Amino acid sequence: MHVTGVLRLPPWRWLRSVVSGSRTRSCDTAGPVDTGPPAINELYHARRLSLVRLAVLMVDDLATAEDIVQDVFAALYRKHGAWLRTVADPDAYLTSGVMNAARSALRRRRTARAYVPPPPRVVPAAEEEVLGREDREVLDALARLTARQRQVMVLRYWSGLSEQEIAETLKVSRGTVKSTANRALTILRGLLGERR
Amino acid sequence: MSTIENRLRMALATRAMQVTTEQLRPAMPPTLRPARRPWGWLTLAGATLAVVALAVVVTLTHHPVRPQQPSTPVVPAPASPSPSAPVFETPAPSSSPRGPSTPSAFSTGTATSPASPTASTATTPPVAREPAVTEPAGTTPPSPAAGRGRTAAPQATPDGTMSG
Repeated sequence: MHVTGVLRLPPWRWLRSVVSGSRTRSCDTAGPVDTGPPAINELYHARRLSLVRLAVLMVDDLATAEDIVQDVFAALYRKHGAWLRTVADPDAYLTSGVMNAARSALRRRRTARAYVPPPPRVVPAAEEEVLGREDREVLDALARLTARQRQVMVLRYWSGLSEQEIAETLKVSRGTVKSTANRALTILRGLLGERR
Repeated sequence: MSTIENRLRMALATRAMQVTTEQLRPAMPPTLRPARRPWGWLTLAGATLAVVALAVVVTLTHHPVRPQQPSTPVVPAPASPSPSAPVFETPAPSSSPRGPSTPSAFSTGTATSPASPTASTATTPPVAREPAVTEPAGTTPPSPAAGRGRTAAPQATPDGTMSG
C-alpha cells in the first residue's frame, strides 16, 4: 500500500521523491507497466523521426528540432499520462505542438538576432552535396518568410495537409490559411525570381 | 501545380531526408524521465513558512509581550492637577515634617512648622510648604526649585527641641 511504500523509503529519499514528484509518476504508471510498453513510448518511437524532420524544416537546426520534439513529448506525457486515454488524436496533438514550439523558437531566434548579428551560416559539406544549389536557394528564401507563412508552406508541401487540416493544426481559420499561403508563394516567387 | 510549388516540394523533401535516425540522439522516451514538478520546492517552502508562522503565533499567544513596568509605584493622580504636580509623582516618603533625624543647624527658634501634617500630601506644591527660615549670612536661601523633591527636614531650635 501507499503507507508501506512510504515507510520503505528512507526519510530523505521520501522527501526528495515528494519534491520531485516521482511518487505521483510511479502511481500513475503503476499497474499497466506489466501489460506492455506505455502508449506514449510506442508513439515516441514511431513518430519521433518524422517530427524531428518537420521541426528541422521549420527551424533549420537539428539540435533545436530534437529539443522541440522531446519537449512536446514530455508535455504530452505530463498532461495526459503514459497511456494517452484522454487524447483523441495524438498525432494531431504532436504536430500542433511541434509547430507551436518551432514558431516560438523562431521568434526567440529573431529577437536574439535583433541584438546580436547572426554568425555566417556554415553549410555542412554533406548537406551541400545533397541539397544542390537550387534547393539551397529555395530553403534560403523560405527562411525569409514569417513563422506563420513558413508553417503553412511546410505543412502544405511537406506534410501534404489540406487547408482545413492546416487550419485545425494551427488553430486558425481556413481563410487565414489560404491567404497566408498565397502571400507566401508570392513572396517566394519574388525572391527566387530575383535570383534567376 | 506551378513551378514554384514543385521546387518548394522538392527542396523540403530533400532537406527532410537528410535527417536520419543515426543522426539523432539516443532515444529517451518520456516515461524514462522523472516528471518533475516545478512547484515541488515552492510547496516545501510554503509548508515551512506556515509552520514557522504557526510557531510564532502560538508563542505570542501563550507568552504575550508585556510592557515594561516602572520600578517605582505610581501615585494616584491628584484630584485637581496643578502645574507642578508632575514633580511629585514619586514623592519621597521622608517629606513628612515629622522626621526628626536630620535637624538643621541653621534653623532658628522662631521657625514655624514647615508644614502641617495635612500639607504633606502630594497635591501641595513644595513652594507653599517651604518653611520661612532665617538663613545665616552668606548662605544662599534655598530656591523653590532646590526644595522640590527634597526632604523637608524638621528645623531644630537652639534649645534642642524640634519644631514641628
